[in-house]
Amino acid sequence: MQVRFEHVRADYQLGPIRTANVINDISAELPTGTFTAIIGHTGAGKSSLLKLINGLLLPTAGEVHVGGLMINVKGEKQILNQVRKRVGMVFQFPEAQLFAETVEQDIAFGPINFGFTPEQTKQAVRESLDKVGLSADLLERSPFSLSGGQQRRVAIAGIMATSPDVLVLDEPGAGLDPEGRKKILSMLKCWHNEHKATTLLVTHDMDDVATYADNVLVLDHGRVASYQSVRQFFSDEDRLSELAIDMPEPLRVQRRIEQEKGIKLSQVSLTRSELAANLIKEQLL
Amino acid sequence: MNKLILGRYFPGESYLHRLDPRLKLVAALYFIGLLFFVENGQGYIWLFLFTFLLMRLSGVSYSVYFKGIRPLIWLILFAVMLRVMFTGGGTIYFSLGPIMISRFGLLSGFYTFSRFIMIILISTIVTLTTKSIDLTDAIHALVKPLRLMRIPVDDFALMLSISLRFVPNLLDETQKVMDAQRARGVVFGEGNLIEQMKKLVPIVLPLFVSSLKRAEEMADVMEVKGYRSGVKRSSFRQLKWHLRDGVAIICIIILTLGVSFFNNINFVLLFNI
Repeated sequence: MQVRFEHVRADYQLGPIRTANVINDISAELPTGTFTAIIGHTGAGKSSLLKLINGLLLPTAGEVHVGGLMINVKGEKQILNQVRKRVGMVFQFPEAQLFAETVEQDIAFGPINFGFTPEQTKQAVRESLDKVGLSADLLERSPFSLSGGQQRRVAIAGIMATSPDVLVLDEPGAGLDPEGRKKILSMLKCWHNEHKATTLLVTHDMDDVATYADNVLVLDHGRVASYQSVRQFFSDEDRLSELAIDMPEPLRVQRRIEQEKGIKLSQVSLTRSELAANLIKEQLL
Repeated sequence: MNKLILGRYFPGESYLHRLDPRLKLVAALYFIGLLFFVENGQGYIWLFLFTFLLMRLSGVSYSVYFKGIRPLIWLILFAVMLRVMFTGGGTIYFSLGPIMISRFGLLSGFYTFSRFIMIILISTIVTLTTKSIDLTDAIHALVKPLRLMRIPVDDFALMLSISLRFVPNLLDETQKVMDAQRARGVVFGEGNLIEQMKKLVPIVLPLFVSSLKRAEEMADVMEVKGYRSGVKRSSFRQLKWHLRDGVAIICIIILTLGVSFFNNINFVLLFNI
């Protein structure tokens, strides 16, 4: 399912205080089945952009298209419901939304709300629990008795259970140990590949961007500062320093080697194995 | 959730912002008390003028205040209707069984309305111009004498300031959890009462869990930093009395004199008739 922003603007109203143009005239098209990383500094509008996709934040101008559905300033309930059914949203620290008595009930919450039949729900719960790598004997446990990492997986399972066409992830690995983080992300990537779900990932980790995403969208003060493929993006060294964005670790190593040896590799390395392959090709290893 | 104005702080540098919080608190209570001593329309208009002057001084636009009244307007109108319908006396314009609309009824309706509005406005003015931490300091200072009765005033003050301190966090968190559950297909504000109550569970429960967790962490941190209850402690923020606070007191005296003046006018007029 395609996601398209057309001249979208949005702002927040918090009590008497209004923050103007958190999103300031954004137009972008995320084709079906792509994995897009959204990066930018704190307050650049990343979370707001995510919220626009399922109408938790309504645009003050412009249109957001999700598949054939259109969200505009009116935000008709009927449409919002349909959009939310198609969009799965993993918030920051999603374990904070767990509430039910058992893991099973918690995962089933979304599917039931979106009108799954009891059988469909049961099946969806089991499948998604399996997907996130938890065993079925946790189903009867209370979600609050689980470890932090397990809670996060249960929360994510609760979102996958509705098998969304668009998956929106707001720093799904935040606060986990490196191992747990890697597992969660590769599991999400795996799910993305299987379901051909259009995926958006907000992250601060450039290694994650390089490893998992196809495209990268850089936000700056509510505007799109750059939107291109990951490889192109990281090739342009000047632009990177202009936007004050780090390089992924393998690329940094590559640049260092290039500097020391006074050579230029033909391709940028996004992962360690790519770096190794490139170095072997240039007969430096 | 975001529409509630009463109880919010609006950062600013106005005269009202800089007044001593103890004074503001006592003055607001005094003003509310004063409302019940007003006996005629002129008195209410006098107080209204004063209230509008304060609103102007606070540097917050009038529309913010009126937005603050809006959620309570039905409650106020309900109370006013009761007053109007069940108060007799003076010329009677309309009557049906026990219900009547009389001159006195309309007047006392107007008085009730004015009292409600001004109570809301005055308390909004205080909270909009006073940081919650200053407000707790003020309360703390005012109830300090209770210490003599062996009431642990300091502990209560600390509890109050901690709970006020976390209100914005709790509101933020509520918003987040609501968003998360909305994304999972909950539609708030639909269905009958029982259905709506059921929809609160997925919000309230996570909030309880996170609040308890935070309380525990906070208690640990305080203990690590050496907090012990029942120990005499000094305060980082010292409340000081300034000239402007004296000026404010004079204004309040003038206000009071005005009220009694208008009350007496009425008395004199009645006397002449």
